[in-house]
Amino acid sequence: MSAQRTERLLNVVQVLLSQHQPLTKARFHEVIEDYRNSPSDTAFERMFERDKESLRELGINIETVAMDAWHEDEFGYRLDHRSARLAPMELSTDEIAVLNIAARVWDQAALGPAARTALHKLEAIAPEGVGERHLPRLIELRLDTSDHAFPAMVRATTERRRISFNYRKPGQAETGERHIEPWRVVLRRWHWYVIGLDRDRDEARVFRLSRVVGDVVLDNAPGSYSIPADLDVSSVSPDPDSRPEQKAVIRVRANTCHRLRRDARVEPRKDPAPVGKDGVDWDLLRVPFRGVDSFASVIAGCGADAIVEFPPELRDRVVALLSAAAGES
Amino acid sequence: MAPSNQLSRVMALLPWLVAHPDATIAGTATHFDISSDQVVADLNLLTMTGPSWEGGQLVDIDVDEDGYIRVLEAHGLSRPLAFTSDEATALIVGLSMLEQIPGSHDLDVLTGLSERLRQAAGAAAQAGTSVSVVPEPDPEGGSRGAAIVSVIHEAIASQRRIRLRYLSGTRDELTERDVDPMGMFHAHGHNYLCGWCYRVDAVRTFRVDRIESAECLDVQSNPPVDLAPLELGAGVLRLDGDPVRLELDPSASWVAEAYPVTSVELGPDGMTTVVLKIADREWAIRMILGLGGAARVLDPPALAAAIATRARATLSSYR
Repeated sequence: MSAQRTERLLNVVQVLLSQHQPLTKARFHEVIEDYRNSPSDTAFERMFERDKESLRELGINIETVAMDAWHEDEFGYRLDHRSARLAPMELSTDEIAVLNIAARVWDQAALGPAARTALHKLEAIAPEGVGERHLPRLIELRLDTSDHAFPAMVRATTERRRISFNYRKPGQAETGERHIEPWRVVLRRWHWYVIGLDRDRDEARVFRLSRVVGDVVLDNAPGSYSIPADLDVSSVSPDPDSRPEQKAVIRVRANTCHRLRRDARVEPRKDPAPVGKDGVDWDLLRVPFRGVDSFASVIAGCGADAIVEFPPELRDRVVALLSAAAGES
Repeated sequence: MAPSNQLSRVMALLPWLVAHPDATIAGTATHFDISSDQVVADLNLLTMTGPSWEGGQLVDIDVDEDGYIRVLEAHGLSRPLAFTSDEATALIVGLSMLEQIPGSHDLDVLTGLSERLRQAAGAAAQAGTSVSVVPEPDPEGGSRGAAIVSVIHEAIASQRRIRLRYLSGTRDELTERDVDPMGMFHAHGHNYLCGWCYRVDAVRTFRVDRIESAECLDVQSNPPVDLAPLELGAGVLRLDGDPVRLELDPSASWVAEAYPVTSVELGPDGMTTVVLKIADREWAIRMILGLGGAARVLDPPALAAAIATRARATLSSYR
C-alpha cells in the first residue's frame, strides 16, 4: 500500500471517528484531499469504494444509512461507535502474561502481525494489569511456519465461501486442483488441516494445509453452503494404536541403547556375564512394542549395538532392512 | 488487498501511547519491533494527516529532546479499534493451543479468559469458531514427564539450578548435566527446557521426554546470559551438520514431511529426492539405516559408505 493511500485511509478513519452524524459522500469529497483531487466523479467513487473495502479488512465496518426520513435517496456513511472500538476489559497481570504467550505462538507463523497488533490494543486498554502476580506455570509454544494457507482457510470457513487450491499428496509430483466447501480448520498433533466437502467427489475430506501449493482462491459469494450441524472434528484424529502389544527380546551392548532401556525390563545377568565374540558385555532386554515394521526400523538404526533374539518375524524384518541398507538385496 | 501493516500499527500505536505516558522513541521501537526511524515516521503520519477540517489537525504529539513522547490530543483515536477477525483468531486460537500443552497447567488463568476475549471481540470472534484444536490423546511423557515438568517449574520459580540425567537426541549417550533453567517451550509436539548448561558452558535445549531424572539443587540459578522469550527455542534444532541428499522410495516419501528439508524434487519414476538438514551425522546414520534401503544417500558419498559398512557389520552378528 502506498504511503499516500495509508495517509488517506487514516484521514478517512479520523473523520469517521470524530463524527457521530453520518457523512455524505459529497462531504468526504470535500474534506479528503485525494478525493477532491481525483480526476473525475467515477474515479472518486471507485477510490472511495476501494477504501471502504480496505477499511473493512482492518475491522472498520462503515455503515450506509439514510441521511434523514425526508430524503430517503440521500445516503450517509458512519461508524457504529460502540462496535468500532474495543470494549473495555479488565485484565490481571497473569492474564496479560498468558496473552503474551498466546500471541507469541504466531511469531513465525501467518498471524504474527495480527497477534502483535491485538496485544498492543489490549495493552492500551489495560496497560498495567491488576492484582498480584503469581507466576503462572506456562510453557511457550512454537508453531510450524508451513501454514501460509491458514488465514485464507479461516476466512473462507467463517464466511462460508467455496474455495479452490492446488494440493500435492506426498510422493506425488503432480498437484491436483481441489474444490472444497470448507467446514472447519483443525489443529491436530500440531499440524493444520481443513475438513470440508470435496465437491468433485461429493464426500467429506481432510486436507493438510502444508500440502496446499500456492494461493487459496475464495469464491465471491459468501454464505453459499451450510456446515453439517453434527460435524465431529475428532474424526480427524487417528485411531488409537490398536496393534497388539508384543514383547521382544533384544541383546544390547552394555552402556548402549539407552532409549530402548527406558521401556525395557533388563534380565538379571547370569554369572558369569555373557560376553560377545568381541569381548564386550551384553544385556538382555525385554522390550514391549507395537507393529513389527516400525520397531524393526528402530532396532536396525541401532546397528550392531542391538541384536534381535525374539520374535523371529522381527529378526527377519531387521535382517531384511540391514541387507537392503548394505546394498545386498 | 492486504491491509497495510503500517495503517493498523499506527492506529494501535496512538492508543498505546495514550496509555503509556512515559513512552520514549527507543522504548516504543523495541516494543513494536520496528526501528526508531519508523516510530518517528509513524508519529509524523499521525500528526501530519488530518482532514481539511474546521479545527485543523485532530492529533497532536510532542516529542521532547530526551525522546519522551507525549500525546497532547488524540480525539477519536485515543481508544483502540475493535479486533479484526485475524486478531481475534490469533488470540483465541492461541489460547486454545496453550491449553493443549501438557504440563502447562495453570488452566484457571486460561479458563474464562478465552470467553471474556470472545465477548470483547464481538463479531470478530466468529472466525475463532471456525478453528478447532483437537485434544492430544495422550500427553507425551506420561506421569514421569509430568513429574519432571513440575521439578523444572519449581526450579524456575525458586531460581535454582537443576541436575539432569539426559539422554541425547542424536547420539546414544546418557549424560549428567547441571543446568540453570531459563524457560520452557513446546514445539513439534514436545516440551523442551532451555537453559545454561555447565557441562558445555553454553545455552542448550533439552527435550523433556529425554530427561531421565531431574533434581532441584540447593544452588542459586545464575545464567550468564539473558534470553528474550522469543529466543527460547531458537536453537531447538541446530541443523548445522553437512546437509544430506537422499533419494526416497515412495514408501519413504513421508520423510520429506517429517524432517526439515531444503528441497523436494519428485521424479517421474515416483522417487523423491530431498536435501535433508541434519544436526548430527550419527543421527543421520541411525535414521537412514532404519529406513533399510528405502532411502539412498546420494551425497555425501562418505555417509553412504558409512551406512553400508555399519549395515554389513550388524548383519555379521546375525549370521
